[in-house]
Amino acid sequence: MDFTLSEEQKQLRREIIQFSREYLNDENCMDFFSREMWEEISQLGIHGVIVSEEYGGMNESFLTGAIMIEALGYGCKNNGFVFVVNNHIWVGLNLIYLYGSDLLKEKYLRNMVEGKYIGSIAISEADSGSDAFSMETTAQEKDDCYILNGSKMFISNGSIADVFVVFAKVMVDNLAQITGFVVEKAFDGVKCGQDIEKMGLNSCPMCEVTFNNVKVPKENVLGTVGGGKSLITSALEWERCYEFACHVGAMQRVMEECIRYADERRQFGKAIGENQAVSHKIADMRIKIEMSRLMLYKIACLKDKKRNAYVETSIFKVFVSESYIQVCRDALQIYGAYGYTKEYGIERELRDAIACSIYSGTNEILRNTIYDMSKISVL
Amino acid sequence: MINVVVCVKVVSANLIGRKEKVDGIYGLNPYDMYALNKVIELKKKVPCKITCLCMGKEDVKDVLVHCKAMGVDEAILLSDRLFSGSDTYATTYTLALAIKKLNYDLIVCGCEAVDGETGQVPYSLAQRLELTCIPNVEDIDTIMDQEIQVRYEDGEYMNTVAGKLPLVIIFKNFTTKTGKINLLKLKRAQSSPIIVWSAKDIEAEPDLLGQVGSKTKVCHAVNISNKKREISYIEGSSSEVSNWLEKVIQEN
Repeated sequence: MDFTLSEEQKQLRREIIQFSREYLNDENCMDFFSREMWEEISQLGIHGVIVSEEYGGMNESFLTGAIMIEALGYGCKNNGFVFVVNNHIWVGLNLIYLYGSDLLKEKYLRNMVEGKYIGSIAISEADSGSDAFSMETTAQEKDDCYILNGSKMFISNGSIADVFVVFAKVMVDNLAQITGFVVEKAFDGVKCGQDIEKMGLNSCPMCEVTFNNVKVPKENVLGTVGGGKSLITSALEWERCYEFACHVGAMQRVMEECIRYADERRQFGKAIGENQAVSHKIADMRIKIEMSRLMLYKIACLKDKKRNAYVETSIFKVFVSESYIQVCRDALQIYGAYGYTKEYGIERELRDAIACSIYSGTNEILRNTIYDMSKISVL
Repeated sequence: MINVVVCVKVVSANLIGRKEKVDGIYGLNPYDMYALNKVIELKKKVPCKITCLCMGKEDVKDVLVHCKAMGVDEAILLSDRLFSGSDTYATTYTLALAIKKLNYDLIVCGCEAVDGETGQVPYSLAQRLELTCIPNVEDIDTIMDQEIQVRYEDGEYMNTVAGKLPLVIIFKNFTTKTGKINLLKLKRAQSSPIIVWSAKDIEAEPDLLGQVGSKTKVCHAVNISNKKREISYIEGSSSEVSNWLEKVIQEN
């Protein structure tokens, strides 16, 4: 695997960083979803990074996609907004692109690439989080539709989404089989609850979405009836790679801010960076970033080769989330009292970071997965 | 279809507040970026073909790719060793020859470049092309039937004036923001070559190019970016103050 970036990839990265800094870092938009910023990033055209040009996308490799999302996380301090974008791309639009019928792609893909529709995924329920397959939402076949009933919880992008990829149980040969559906918010019976207040990622709205006798046309089945489990597995694989790719960029940004601060801040007649208690923290940040980046590019290369990367993405997710939290904690410590204030943005970064040890599968559940898969792996 | 030629200059990234390591070595002159943004806005209302014309080394191509990703249809780089060391006189000779090879209705310039800061090129270019020149333009109101209507600042007044094409307009403002691009356009721009014209391509007289063809010469350059700011309180008569000022200017 060769991770040497081409000149084109370097320019893409530069352009995304400049764009993010100039158009996505409005301090007044850190605590709510900004439609203006969404319009801006939609015009940039990042949503269609891996989608073919037929649907208005860029048809880029997964490695280039990883580089671009890393750059977005580096340039954009609004982690909640980056989370909205990633949800839309990797588990909304991407699933339709990879597993949807031509009809579904025609119906939704171009509008999602152009940002006219915002996508979201709905798996979790109030009583089925880590144990996702125990979901209770059902879809019953009736004439040319499925009737969807149930409630999905903690749905990121919920109140702003136009299109949901919803998973529900369908009875096939007397067996309840999980199936994916593309459900428009405009369908009768789809309701979003109040946005749930969270500790961080405030610009990404999250809510409960209920489905009450929602008629979903059969053509809106994603993949095959009963094929939902593998879709969820695939969705999580994408999520665990790309929704964490931006954190590699975010860690780099935080580290660079710490280097600047450690150089400028003087105590006892010298820059605080001259103390190893500070400089070693920054060195540890760099180690975490390098390891994370290598793993990210490796996973992206595996995906470009159409290889399964379930265990790699699980390891990556655990490592990056814990690294990101630690980097933010160390940054706060380096900044001292200033870091604890709202003004410097470090405390917000830490609040945002903490979420990533929970979403896309908690780190505890992922350690179970890694252990199970390690038992059957050989060198 | 209106053929618009936008003359742009690529400048060092640190002159426009960017970091070379992250943002690249070069960026577009902020005055030209403003002018280019205005022309791209115009293209949304009126069918235009936008051509960017730039003099510089081949390694500024990335900036022209960026221009194409913003919505420029064609980018031409005038690059030749013979062009190096051009002052504004030689520059406008070169630009004018290149423009004469193109179809043009409207020539658009920024009012100056942040490195040279002479602001002479647009006027000199208009003279060489024997075209009317409207300076201090704030915006283009309309353009139709080979006639353009622009708003320009004249002292305390904002005037609206109409002129027959072809002509040269000079935008007065600048922007330090990077122009908005589309990534798909960027990708396409990356894979389509930037046109490079040499002195031979524009049929230029070598004696009128570069340092040889320039009317002015840079004799000596001193880096003054590291100079510290100092505050001095000057007392005395007007002549004493002016003598002191003269001395400081001479010293620096």
